[in-house]
Amino acid sequence: MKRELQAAAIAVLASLAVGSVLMLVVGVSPVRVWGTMVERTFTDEYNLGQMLFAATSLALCGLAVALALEAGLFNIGAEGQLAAGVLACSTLGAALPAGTPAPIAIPVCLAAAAGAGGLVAGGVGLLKATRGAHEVISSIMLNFVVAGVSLWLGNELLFVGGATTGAPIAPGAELPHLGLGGSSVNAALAITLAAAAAVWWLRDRTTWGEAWRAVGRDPAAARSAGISVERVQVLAMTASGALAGLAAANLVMGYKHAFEDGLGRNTGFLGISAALLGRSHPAGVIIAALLLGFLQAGGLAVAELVPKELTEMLQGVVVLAVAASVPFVARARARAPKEAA
Amino acid sequence: MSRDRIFGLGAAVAVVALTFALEPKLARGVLSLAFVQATLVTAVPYVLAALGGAITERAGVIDLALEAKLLFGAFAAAAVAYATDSAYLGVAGGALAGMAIAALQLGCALRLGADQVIVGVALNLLALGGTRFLLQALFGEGANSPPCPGFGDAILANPIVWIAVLASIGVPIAVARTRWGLRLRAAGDRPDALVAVGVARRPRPRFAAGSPAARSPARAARSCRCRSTASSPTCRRAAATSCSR
Repeated sequence: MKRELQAAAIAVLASLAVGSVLMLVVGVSPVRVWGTMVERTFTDEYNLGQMLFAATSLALCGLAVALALEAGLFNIGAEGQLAAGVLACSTLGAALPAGTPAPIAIPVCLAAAAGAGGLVAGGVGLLKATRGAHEVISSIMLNFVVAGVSLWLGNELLFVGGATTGAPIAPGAELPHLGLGGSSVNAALAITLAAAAAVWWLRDRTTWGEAWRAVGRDPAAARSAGISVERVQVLAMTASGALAGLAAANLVMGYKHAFEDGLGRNTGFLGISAALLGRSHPAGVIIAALLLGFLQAGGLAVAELVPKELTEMLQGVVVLAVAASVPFVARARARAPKEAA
Repeated sequence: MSRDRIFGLGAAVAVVALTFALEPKLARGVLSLAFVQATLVTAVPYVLAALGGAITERAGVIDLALEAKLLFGAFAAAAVAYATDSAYLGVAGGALAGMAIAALQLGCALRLGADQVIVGVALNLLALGGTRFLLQALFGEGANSPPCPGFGDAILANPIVWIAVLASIGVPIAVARTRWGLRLRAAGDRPDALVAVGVARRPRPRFAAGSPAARSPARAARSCRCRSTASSPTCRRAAATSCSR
């Protein structure tokens, strides 16, 4: 645990340093930019809300990637699973009669989002378990398939009035906003926290979680311990996809209230960053998502000082720094005298 | 042919046939000369990137950062061609940028022992924001570089098409028939054999994490040339679109 914290801290410091150097290159004072960024994000209700809104999607995709990672699967296709969730959630939401009460409409749309994501990822898990297809390749490729299918369906059936937006979902399926200066943050935040708690419970408190982690650490050992590796792979991918699909709830039910092409683009990829930065622990993923959300919302809030591309770039730097600092910390601790565990 | 290959080929044919059945217009378009030309030009980046990826794959390095190399290569090609007014120097700049990213990648993966897959994903993210940041910083625009010299529309007069043709003949020969190729494949298949015959140093313990024979993959990195030149003729990022004029 301590090792994870050290690695994350080193990574964040390294990213701050790289960001500061880049700011100096563009010719603005790093102190001023970071200061303004923190000030504007945490004192302005709207910016704070936007940060939480961004963090909600990122956390769900991050939990998705983290869950699969625990089972030794690298789900790089959260992007496509999220897109499938957006498609299913908004299509079903729009198909519901306008008078559908919220207690029916919301669970139906949530199930559609999670189900579609789970279906896409479950297919990846099935291919891995039965045909040995590498999950990285098949899930990346499915990203393109899902993006193509949803654009095609949009053009053929869903888009209304020459726009790239579909019909609005039933009002009962809309998630309430949380206020905060008219920002987009909505009740999906609560769903996300519940999902994180559920993932933590599943991971640390059930035999399922134990089996998943056993497969992640050593599939051969898990198999000889009587665990069905194939089953774990399919289930873990399905659950992972369902979480990524749920992020559609934040975007469709809480924000756009309609199908839109490219809604949430890149969120799935940034979810990978959140999972890696959070070291696959649910609490870590939430914190990482908040940090990445801060970079996103804060980057927009200081857009007149530095180009917002700088904060986009920093998100990549953060992940790179985490990847590099983990073995670094591991080595440093291996050299240090053993402490009582 | 193994059963798996027949299965895969059959699935691919079925998907294409289904697409044509759904969109008959597409099938008619395929039979034109313009379509063949467009296919060749579109294929160039894929060919070069795939060859680059294949080389590292044989050396036992999973390269997920091809995208990053293409993006930075495209940016560097456009920027250098614009600054020097020479498309050829632009190609060289693109190749150098690809190699620079490879150096960063290997530094993280081999020197620091970071996970190759994670490094690849991170570099792709970095490239996505980084190329736009550089465009903004150098040209004051986030999506396009100013128009830069290029090779024109004629495919047969485009040196990059010829680079792709030569590379797709030369790389397989080099991998299969040269000493370099043998060592490359050994680095992927049996790194310890390379150490035993004295080609590679035994990785020092602290480098051991995830590095099959520290040196040969580093050599493979030189072949990143292939990848980055792919950027110039046809490109996804607008920076290089202007290069093809």
